[in-house]
Amino acid sequence: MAVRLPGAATRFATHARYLKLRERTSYAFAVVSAAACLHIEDEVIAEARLAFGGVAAKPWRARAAEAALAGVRPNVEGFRRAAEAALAEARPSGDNALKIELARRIAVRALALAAAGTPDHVPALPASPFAPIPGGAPHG
Amino acid sequence: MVETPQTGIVPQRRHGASIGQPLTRRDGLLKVTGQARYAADNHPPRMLHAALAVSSIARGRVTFLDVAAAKAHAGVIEVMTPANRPPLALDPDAKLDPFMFRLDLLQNDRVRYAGQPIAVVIAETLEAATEAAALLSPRYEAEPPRIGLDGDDSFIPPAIGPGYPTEVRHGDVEAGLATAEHRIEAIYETPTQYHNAMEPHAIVATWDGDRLSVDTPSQGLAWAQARIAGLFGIPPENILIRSPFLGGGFGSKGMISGPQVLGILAARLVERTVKLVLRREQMYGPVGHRGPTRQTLRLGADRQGALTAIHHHVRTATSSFDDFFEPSVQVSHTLYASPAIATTAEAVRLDTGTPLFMRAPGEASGSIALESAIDEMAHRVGIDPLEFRLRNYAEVEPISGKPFSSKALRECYAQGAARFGWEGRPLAPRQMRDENGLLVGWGLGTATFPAIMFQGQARAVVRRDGTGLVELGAQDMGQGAWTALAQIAADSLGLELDQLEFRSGSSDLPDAGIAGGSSHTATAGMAIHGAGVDVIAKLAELAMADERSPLFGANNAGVLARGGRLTRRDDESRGESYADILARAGFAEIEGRGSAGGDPFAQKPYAMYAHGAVFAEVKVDPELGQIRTTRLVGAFAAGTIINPRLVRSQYYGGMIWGVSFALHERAVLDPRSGRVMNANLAEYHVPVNADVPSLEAILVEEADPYVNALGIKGVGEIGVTGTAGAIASAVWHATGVRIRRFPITVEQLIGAGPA
Repeated sequence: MAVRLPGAATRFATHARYLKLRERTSYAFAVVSAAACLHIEDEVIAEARLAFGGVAAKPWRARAAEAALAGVRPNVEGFRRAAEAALAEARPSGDNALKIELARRIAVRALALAAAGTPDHVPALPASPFAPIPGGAPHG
Repeated sequence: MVETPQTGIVPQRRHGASIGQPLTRRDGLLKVTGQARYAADNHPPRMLHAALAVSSIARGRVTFLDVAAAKAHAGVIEVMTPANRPPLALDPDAKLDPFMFRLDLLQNDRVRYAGQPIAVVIAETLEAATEAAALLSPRYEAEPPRIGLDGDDSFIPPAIGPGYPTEVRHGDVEAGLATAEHRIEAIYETPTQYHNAMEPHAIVATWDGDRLSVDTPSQGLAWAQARIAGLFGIPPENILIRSPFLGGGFGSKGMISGPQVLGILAARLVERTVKLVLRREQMYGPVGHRGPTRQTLRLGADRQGALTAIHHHVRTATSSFDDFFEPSVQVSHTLYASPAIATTAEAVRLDTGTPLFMRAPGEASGSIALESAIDEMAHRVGIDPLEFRLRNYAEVEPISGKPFSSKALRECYAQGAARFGWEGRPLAPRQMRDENGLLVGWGLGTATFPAIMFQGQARAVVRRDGTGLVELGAQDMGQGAWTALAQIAADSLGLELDQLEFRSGSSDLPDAGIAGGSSHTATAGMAIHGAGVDVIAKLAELAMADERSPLFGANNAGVLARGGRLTRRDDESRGESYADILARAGFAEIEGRGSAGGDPFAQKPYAMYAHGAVFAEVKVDPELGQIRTTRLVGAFAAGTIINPRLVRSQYYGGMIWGVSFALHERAVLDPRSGRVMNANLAEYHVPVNADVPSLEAILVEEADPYVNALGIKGVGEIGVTGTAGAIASAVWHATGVRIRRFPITVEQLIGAGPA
């Protein structure tokens, strides 16, 4: 299997993050996960991508959140609004109502980490919310 | 045979003794190079492969099996069903003693739990057997399964665990609660758990007339031999079981399981060697599990924090057809002083396999509840949980009033607390954060496990060339018996390890008792010790009675056995080698026998337990609720330590099991089908390496003159106890949220409110 990424995706390279919340640190399905990419120009989000794992039968792209992020400054308030937009129409099926709240929270975290910059090095435990917020030079 | 002389000839422990040395595993090289032969590694010529077909319903009847389709598959030799299963001498549903567990051996078409064997396919290849088993396409008459602790009406079992009383009352609990300044009542739940040894149950069986030879992992060779003998109506000595290595047992290989006997039956049916290995998902039915529990703790304490009452009640579950009741309440009999203690139990019958002993049976599930409740009470009283435990320290065993044979628990608390840095822990929860903003919490649990001994025997020999042989049917589950027992053997004969041949792991050797109940080093070790002492006594007798020996007439002065020589205790310049003694006597070798068992004269007046204290640190993500254990320090006192390296490994393994108990392990049963929905290691979580924090195990010195002559207690299970409760309390201390249903999960933490 091979994955081809379009060259244009490089605009997200410096602000991207994937987070996976799980019951054990490896070899476990996500309780929820989130991937966030931001294209930041002049301290404003020009374009965003947000997708969830562990919330549906397939990875779930949050287009409403992406729209809500376009043109706003990267701050927690904006990320919260985007997460609300992403989950506005989410409905539980059975005993999984908590996933909606967790998805909201992990979206905010993933967006905040993406805004802080892609880390120079992949943390020792990739995608762990436990990895410290990167202080080093952004990737690229 | 010569009589044991009246003189003191017990080998002395000394610098350079094998006991106490942190030796690496003598079988380590074999294991890391793949040369250690586990049961399923055996491939005798003309061996056939068997595959189990198991029930997909939990209760009902098998109405049809497409035997013709399975038999038509290429390579299939035979399909064993209730219609053609060879006869047995004993009904598999007979229960002649409490330890005889009922087995599913195709005795009829009944289904009593999901995953029950309903047929066995025997074929030339594993692939053919597996494919043909799928072709059986069973049809059932299904009945609704009874699942979960509320799945049926409860009853009071006649006994719990291995025969403990169901109800114990000491003092007046209700009065103790009524007069208490502080009271708590809380309900804790632990899930169904499966042993999940890395090595699945496996058997390679060959019949030769009415003689049977098997390779299969066993924690109790003599028990397995006797069980098979009874089922097939043949003398035990006709059965040879080889079990040199086990890839873990944890109780699930203590008694021979139904699938192992099915392998033997299959071999009888086709009159060829048959190998049967359980698939991982087949280990979630017929080979035991830890029953679920719902435990109610009622505690009372006075103003100063002295306990006035403990009531520990457990509701647990057994199968519809047999009895084993997780004895969670036992820990409350021994851990804390209280003028009133009551323990009670009830149970339900469910459509599951029969629960069984699983590492620290009762102590693990009971201590997570009791230690959580103690932590809750300490907070209620407003004192540090360590101080609270010290105020309620049991100076004597609370109910029996017996003194402890030894109890260095205070030292465990002190050394553990110092190493962990417990001092200065804030009393209130949610007070600590790390540099990344994660919530940090600290918790403490007391660990305990009884010092048990079973019956065991051993044989020791000193040969003409001065070397030694010690042999017994001991079992190494991975804990290091090959090494620790050989260390005891070398010292018992006054030899270095390289002068000793040590044989073990086979049923034609003296019965060494079971590797269970954390008893094996004590039982097998004392049998070995006795056999060695017997040999040395005979050697000494020979020498002291021989005018030509420098030891002639030493008699009451006594001799020492050391480095392959006997020397006069009062004059070490006078001595001679074992080889010289035997050569002059004209003996090819000299043999000794030893036996071991609990000493009733010591057990009656003394309470015998190992103890420990475990300190845990956890970190919790405040928004996402993800929990990780970041530090564990355990301090344990368990009498004489034969091999500190192996003992530390046992403590580490137990503590990791405690992490698993607190945060990971649970079987999830489908209420509609009664099947385990996560019957695999991808979804039945145990910690991965990255979940295992910095671990420390402190070996606290403890000399016990009563448990046995070597002072050995057990170390295999105690690490689980204490640890799980310490982690649960640390999660509360980090978050302020008390989770009482285990394992503690993200959903529970977030669902309980602001994490």
